[in-house]
Amino acid sequence: MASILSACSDSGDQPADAAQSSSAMPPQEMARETPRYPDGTVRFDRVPGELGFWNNPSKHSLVENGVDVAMDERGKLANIGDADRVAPFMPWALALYKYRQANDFADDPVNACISPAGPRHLHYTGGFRIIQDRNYDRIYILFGGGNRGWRLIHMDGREAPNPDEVVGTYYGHSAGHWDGDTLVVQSSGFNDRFWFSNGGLPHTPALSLVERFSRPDYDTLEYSVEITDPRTYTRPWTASWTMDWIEGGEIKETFCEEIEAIDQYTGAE
Amino acid sequence: MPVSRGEVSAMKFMSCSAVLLILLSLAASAQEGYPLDGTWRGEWGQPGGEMTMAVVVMNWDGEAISGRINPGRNMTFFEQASLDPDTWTVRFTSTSKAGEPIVFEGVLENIGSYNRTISGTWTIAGVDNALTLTRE
Repeated sequence: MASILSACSDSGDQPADAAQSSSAMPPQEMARETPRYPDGTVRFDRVPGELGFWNNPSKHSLVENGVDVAMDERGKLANIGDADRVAPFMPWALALYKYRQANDFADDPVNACISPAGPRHLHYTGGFRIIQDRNYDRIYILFGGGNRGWRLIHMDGREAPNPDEVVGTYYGHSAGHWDGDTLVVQSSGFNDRFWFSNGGLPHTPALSLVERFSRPDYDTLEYSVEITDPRTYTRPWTASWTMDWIEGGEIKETFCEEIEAIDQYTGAE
Repeated sequence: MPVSRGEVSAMKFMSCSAVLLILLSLAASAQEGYPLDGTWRGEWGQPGGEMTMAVVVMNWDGEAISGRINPGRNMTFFEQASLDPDTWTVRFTSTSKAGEPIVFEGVLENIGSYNRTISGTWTIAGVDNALTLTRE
């Protein structure tokens, strides 16, 4: 499968001049230019012959833009008193968030091998790749963390579905389009069987996302996500962070096989 | 009738596979959103007396908790329902098909667990009965 996807990524297009210039060693203080396809479309994955993936998120959990709170890499707050600043929670959601923080994420579905889906994948360890399958108008995001899952974004003009009209899934139903150099992805149709953020922020099947991916230079991925869930949050809100291009690297093969964790999660003995 | 070692191994494999599938199916049906959403079941009655099954289905739409008691021929709907997240106290009222007022008040426990519970008092026609509802 990796070879097929690699072929999709490098589907015969040659990199534009920016990619070619990447072989020359620029001064370290100068950002390398964004790699592009010959038609000018931003390339989010490798140029032919290159290895690499995205990782090192600048933040570790969803936090509303403009709010600065201290937390560790799992999204655990340094001060639980900051909880109500993280997002515009409804009272039940704030209480559940605090509960999860207080019990040190003991009930995190990830402990039972359930995927850290939604935006959480972009925070999770292992990194990811964004594969542009231009032949079939699709984009795949391949995740190194969790169960090395993958996500499909349709680029054929369709719209994200009404959440009430589809069976919810872990990755939701995603439709993307270009806004200049920014990839805009609308997603809905999630189930609520996973945590969509480190730190235990809740959501319901009413969740919908508008994600924006951009690559302002060769080594930086800018990401923002607008979260709308009228059953969990009092208004739509946005979180943003950046990730680094890990040149020469490869996402690792990781699978979860913690059956004991499933016992604990389900209460089985 | 003697059983060969190979047959024993096959039986062990099948048993382990069945257990694994059950565990995975339980994990896959867990629900992490609004903690009351879903189907709950329990039995109420006086100590030593006949117990009566109660099945309660709750749903949060972002503004209110709606609910049904004993879906089927004798189903009744919630008249009022609330969740106090400071204490995780759940309260709902209804009226039975026989016209008896129903009030339930309990506390949500093991919130993060697949088999979370609400333990409290089911009052019907003015009589208090202990009831623990377990989410299915």
